[in-house]
Amino acid sequence: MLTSIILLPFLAALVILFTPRNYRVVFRGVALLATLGSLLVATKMFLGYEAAEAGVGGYKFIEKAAWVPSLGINYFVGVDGINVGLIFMGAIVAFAAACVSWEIKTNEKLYYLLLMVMTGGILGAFASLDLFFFYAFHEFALIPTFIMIGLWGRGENKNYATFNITLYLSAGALIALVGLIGLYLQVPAAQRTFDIVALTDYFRANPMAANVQHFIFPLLMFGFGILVSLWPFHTWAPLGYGAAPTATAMLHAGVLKKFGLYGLIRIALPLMPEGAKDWLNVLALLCLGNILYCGWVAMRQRDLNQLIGNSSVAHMGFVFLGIASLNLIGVTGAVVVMIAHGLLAALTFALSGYIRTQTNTLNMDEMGGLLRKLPFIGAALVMAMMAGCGLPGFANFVGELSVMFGAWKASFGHAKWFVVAAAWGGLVIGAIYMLRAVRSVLHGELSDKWNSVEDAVLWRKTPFVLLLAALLAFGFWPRLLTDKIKPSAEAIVKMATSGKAVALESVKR
Amino acid sequence: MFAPFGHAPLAALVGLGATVFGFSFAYSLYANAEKDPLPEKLGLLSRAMRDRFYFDEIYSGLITITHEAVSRLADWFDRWIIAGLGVRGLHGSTEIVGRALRLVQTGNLQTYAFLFVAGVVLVLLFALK
Repeated sequence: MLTSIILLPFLAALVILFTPRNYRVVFRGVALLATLGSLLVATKMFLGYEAAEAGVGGYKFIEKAAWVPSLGINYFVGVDGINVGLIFMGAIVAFAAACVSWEIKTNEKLYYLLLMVMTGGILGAFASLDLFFFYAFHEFALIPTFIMIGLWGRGENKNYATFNITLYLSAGALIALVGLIGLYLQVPAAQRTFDIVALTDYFRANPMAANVQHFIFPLLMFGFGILVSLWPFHTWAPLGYGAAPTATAMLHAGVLKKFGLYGLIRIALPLMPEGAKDWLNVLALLCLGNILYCGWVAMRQRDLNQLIGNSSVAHMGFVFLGIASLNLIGVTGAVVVMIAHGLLAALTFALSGYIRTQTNTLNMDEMGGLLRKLPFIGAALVMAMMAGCGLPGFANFVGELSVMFGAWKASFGHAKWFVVAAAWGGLVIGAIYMLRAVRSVLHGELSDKWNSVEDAVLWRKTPFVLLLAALLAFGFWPRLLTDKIKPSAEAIVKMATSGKAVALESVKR
Repeated sequence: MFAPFGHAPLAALVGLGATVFGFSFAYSLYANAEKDPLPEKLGLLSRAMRDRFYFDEIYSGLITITHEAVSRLADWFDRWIIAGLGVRGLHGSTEIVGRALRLVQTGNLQTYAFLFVAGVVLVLLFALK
């Protein structure tokens, strides 16, 4: 089942590769069909998760095939509560991204080919239970991102943005790779494996030396952190998303970026509890840089994409905070925010992309009154902005609230009051810039130059409706997610707090 | 629907009472009234009520002196220190080092031979010391 979710986009890429370059309808049709197929299978998997039989390590829908047995590399995919929702969200965003790609008019063959490879890589990275494939699939998704920004990007900063994001993210991925190799080498030569389940079992029975953890954990924390735009390594994000074509920004900000967070939760926390204890306080402080600082930076932006990019960096702070609080409700909330923000980031970038194709600008000072011309897109933008402020009814509220509870329960030394108050302040800042953006884009006088602006026709509404429906469904019925996440998060938190000494006292309380 | 009354009867009843009071008071004031009777009766207070007790202005002013000021600072720091000095600085200094090192590649065999021998002498110097 998982293999077909991952394979469909790759097969589509293969079909596109062997289609003559002027068959535009075929590229688009194949891409839409493949992502829709992935989405349908992912939906079936998501809904059938509870009923499915659990296999090795409590993972479900496991599929395994030996690849390089001498090195311990297997094709090994499976889901638990943490990644089942992420894969489902990824499939929704991938279909929506294929839908909004109608704006691409040049070199479509290469574009759809890269889009499909990126989609397959993303879904594969989240499904993999083998470190090698986990990393390789991520690179498969990352490289098309760079090429797409470089070739179909927009704005005068396009080239600088492409180089910036390429070097920055490659550096982050390499630092994480050093950490992962370090982890691999901690296992005695005879038992070495890339199998995440086997590694987890091994380190549960034979904990890594505390001083080694102290060095490997920060490699993963900063390596994965750079991939997620951890403050102060965040400047690539608004720049890159501002220049990226809509679908690329949706897929990267929505789904691929979550890879670093997923790596922290899946690998760094459970395998290195001592390292986590040493370093998570640092993470808790840095994530305030995301929540507060990037929120303030977003307040000053006059370009809608820059604002959304900065706000997406700010939202990542909540996930980091949930991870840093290292208790059940915090980690559960972090996973919910990852899923909710994935849908939200995709929705906001899709909307800003639509507005840009209509107005040829994203400068908010030039806009105004657009709600009159764009009743549907405008209403969707208001809903997206409200979801971004954490309005109850949207999935973001559930996640952010749980993260706040988690942070409150965690003991960040004496900084607890400060951390929680700052995170709460971050929500207020979010409301300021989101509401101001709504005011300057949608309300006020309508300039004559926007007379030709047209609202979305029925079929172009599909991606927006789909993303909004998912946000609302998880917002009104969060147990769809939390019931799946909780058991898996509990196992991870248990391992991560099993460090021989202090652990976080408050968890026991 | 009636769950709040079982859960917190006092709060629910007070809320309901306030609603009923508000409706009946408004009805007694405005039913059959030609114009708003409040400005005559209350004067300044009525004006403050009309302007929502200036809460919007207070909020807006507070945000201007707090968040707005800090956000200017954060934006400046982001633009010039992190993205400028940090990222662009690293990019620029790498570029300069690259340009400088390019000058060493002269294509002149004698120069390469000289540098090679100089390197060997240096290594020997350190090794034999």
